[in-house]
Amino acid sequence: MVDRSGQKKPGPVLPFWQRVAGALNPVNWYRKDPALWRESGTAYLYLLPALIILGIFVFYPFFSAFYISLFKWGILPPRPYIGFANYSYIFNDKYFWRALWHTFYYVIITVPVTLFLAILVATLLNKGLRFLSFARTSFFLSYISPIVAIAMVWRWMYNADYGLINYLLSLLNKLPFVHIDPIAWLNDPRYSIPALIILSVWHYVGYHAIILLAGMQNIEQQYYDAAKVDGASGFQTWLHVTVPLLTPQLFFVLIMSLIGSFKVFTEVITLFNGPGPLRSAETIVYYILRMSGRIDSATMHLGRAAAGSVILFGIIFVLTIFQMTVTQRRVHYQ
Amino acid sequence: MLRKLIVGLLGLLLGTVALAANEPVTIDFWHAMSSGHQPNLQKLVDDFMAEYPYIMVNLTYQGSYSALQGKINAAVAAGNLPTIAQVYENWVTPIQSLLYPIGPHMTAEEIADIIDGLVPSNTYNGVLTTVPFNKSIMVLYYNADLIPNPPTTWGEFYDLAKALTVDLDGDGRIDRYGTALRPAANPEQFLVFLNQAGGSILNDDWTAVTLCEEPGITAVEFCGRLIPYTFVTSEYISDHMGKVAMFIDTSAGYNYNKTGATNAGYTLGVAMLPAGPVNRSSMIQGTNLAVFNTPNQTQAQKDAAVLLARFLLRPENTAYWAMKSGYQPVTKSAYQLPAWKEFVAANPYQQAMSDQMLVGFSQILHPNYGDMRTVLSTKFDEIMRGAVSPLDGLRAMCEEIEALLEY
Amino acid sequence: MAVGCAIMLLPFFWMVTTSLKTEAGAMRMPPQWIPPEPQWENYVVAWNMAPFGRYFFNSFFIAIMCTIGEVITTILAAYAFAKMRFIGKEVLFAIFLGTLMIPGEMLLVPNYVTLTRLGWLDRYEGLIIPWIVSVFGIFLLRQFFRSIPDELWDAARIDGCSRLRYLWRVIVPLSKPAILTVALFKFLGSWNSFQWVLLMTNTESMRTVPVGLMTFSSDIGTAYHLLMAASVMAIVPILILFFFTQKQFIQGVARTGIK
Repeated sequence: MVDRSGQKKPGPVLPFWQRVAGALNPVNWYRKDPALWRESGTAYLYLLPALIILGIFVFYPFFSAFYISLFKWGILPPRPYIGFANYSYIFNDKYFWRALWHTFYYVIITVPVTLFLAILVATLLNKGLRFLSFARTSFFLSYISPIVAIAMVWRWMYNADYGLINYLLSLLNKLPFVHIDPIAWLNDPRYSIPALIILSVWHYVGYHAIILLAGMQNIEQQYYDAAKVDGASGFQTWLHVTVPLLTPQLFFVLIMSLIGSFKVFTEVITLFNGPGPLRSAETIVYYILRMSGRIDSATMHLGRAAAGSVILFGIIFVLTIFQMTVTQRRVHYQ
Repeated sequence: MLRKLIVGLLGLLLGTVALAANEPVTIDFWHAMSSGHQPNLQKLVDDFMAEYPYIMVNLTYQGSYSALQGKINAAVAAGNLPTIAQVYENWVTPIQSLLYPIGPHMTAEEIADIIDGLVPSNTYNGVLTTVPFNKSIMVLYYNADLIPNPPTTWGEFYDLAKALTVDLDGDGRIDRYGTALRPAANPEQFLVFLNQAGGSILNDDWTAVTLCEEPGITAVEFCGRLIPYTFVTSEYISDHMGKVAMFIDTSAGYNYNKTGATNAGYTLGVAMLPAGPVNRSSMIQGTNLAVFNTPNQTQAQKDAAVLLARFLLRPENTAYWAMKSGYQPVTKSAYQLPAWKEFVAANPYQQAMSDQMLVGFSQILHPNYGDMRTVLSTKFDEIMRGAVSPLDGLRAMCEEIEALLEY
Repeated sequence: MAVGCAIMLLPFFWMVTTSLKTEAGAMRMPPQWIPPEPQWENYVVAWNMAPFGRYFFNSFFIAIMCTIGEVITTILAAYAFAKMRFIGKEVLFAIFLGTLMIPGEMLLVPNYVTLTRLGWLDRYEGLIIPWIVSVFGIFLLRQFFRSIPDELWDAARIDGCSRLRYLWRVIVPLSKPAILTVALFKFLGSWNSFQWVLLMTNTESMRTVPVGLMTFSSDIGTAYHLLMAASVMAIVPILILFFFTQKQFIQGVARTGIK
């Protein structure tokens, strides 16, 4: 990547106050670079369709959530201003903290496990085996299928009595020294989040693997040749050439899956048809939607729901920035 | 001659008035009856439109109940509610000011015909406002091969549940439970025990929580004693039929439970619930019909919707709907119709449901009931799964509901 | 690898075999791997339980229109971000990326009100226009456009070529795989979209396939064999689409080089 700012030449150094005054004068802004202003006009014209649509359907409702979060906002007026009472309600609600914990538990396992398996799958796919397109399709199929449909199959497979998974586990009992009791996947609070994690890993691993695979195919042969010259083993090459050169893709996948995982909801409602036993599968988005009266026949508290959304956004925002600053330093570009 | 003329003129006048009143009118009817039920509902609506040719009814399926609820909430915000919709009580209690009362446009006979247990849950400030539509009742389902005589009291129920809980293969895990409960999805099971013990959640004017009084303690202790013999699940019991000897479930689930029992290899029996210390009542669930009084509705639309609601309440129609859908008729006279009696004779399981329906009770109309129900289901689930002792769980319920009294 | 493929495909296999069982067969233990008498009529029953013909038409129509619209807006916006200098570029790009962090559920109700005001409820406009912009797509294309050397533009400008013409005649043909990738992602997203369609439509005739799947699940029980048959029907079209485009698709992802 070219660093354009590096081409600028430093001008004469003016006294501080003159520089400030100059910087604040709009005429100078234009004079400094008229071409920039003209090009800006054209650029915003190109951006106009995107800006209008995002403005109406994303920015406006997003900022209205901030506004709504300051009111006691029921289904009908009156809707009095109550300051930060919705926020303090949420912070004092033990179900919010539980939902937060469930979500973190889910994210902390799902994201690295998916990433690890995706690297593994991508490496294997990159070996260029026979039936490559079949293998690729079979891995990607889970991602392209409607989540509603696949969560339904999983619900059926998780059934403790008639489900496929417990049946397969019971086959293991035929081996010596193995004893596995049937697991009540959807009915035992200890297994709610694991059941969710398995479904999610299965759903996203193919997608991540395809992106990583694409990245691997981008790595130029010369790097591998160089490694060969140095006498590196297959695994060493993988560890010291493939993985470092894959960091841009890994970084992208990591950020995307982190953001996506925090918003997990559809899987929960389709799998459990509710918040799960002892509310053990209630995630933050589930909690927010419950507050907004859209699930569980709950009463509508849109102010609380909006406050919850703001908090969730804050969490994702902080974590993403944190992750970006930490990982960006380790990203290698070719 | 003069009299004939006057009568003729009057007739003409009335005819014109009737014609003028019968300008074509279209109403939207939102419902959540999935594909199996839809043709039957459509047939009733077609009959209605044949009788009132100037009314056009757009029947629109809105998905599951929660989807319909989300839809109605969003439509309130956007000001585009339909004229008439299927609603649960707690969806409309917060928006009761938007309801167009149906009762004032009904005859005294029509109102008196509605099953007693359904009147309070449709009455707002002393006025019958919504009317019952698809209603089901909690009954006792049992494995008839195992249980020749279903229990009639709590004592018998407990003894039988205990006796039928067995570890068939001796591996230390229970293979068949005496009974099953779905506390998280169905806290109404607890409300049945509460009502049968003579208790209630709130006092009559909603100023105090009465749940923790003597009947509440009796009910929760009974549930506590059942824990070792109860399969507690949040899934459908019909997906686990082989594991359960008898259970309390809604009459609307009959077909699913029947299939489940057949697959598990036994005959399904249906009986009235065992009687509690005070009564043998059961909880009626299901939706009502509400007509909305929002600015986007014309008087003609509201009148047409009221006609539709009354049409669906007619004995032959509520009976037809019940026979086709598996819900229960909502008027007393429907149970006296020859067609219904024939139907019950051909489907003996219906007898228990009908008997139970006539002694049913409904949910309260407190505007915060939606949140109260969340408290009930969460705590009932914790109690039945042993996460909290029955009495502590009950106390927690009372505390959390106390905070929801104000609205 | 074979094990991996097997695990990935198992649920689909299970979906297909369950869809060919009787209701009793679906609940048998130990499970039947292959039903002895495949119940092909499950598909007929499922197809007839809801107007699936109309659902499929809507799904295709909406997905295609969304994709076309998105490709146009995305090319324009990505070009501006990749190749033009303008005031507030970095900030705006950060804001765009920030929208990826917003939980979509939180925007549903306000958007319902907006669509009502626009009169787009229960109309194709409401199902298409809000979805013709994708920040993810803009991001992908921007990455790709940036890899195209600026010298091409300098040469074109000297020949008196306008920006728009250059974009259309040079950049777009060079970026075909990337654009195809973006389009395919959009098509999939649109095909699988569920909550939005459910909330923003009132009539059967406006609904799509995933919403139709709901017909088979009620609040008291589920007819699994029929649900699985309907699920198979919902997946087959995108499976075919992916199978035939996957080469260009992978190439597209590879060349965008997501950095």
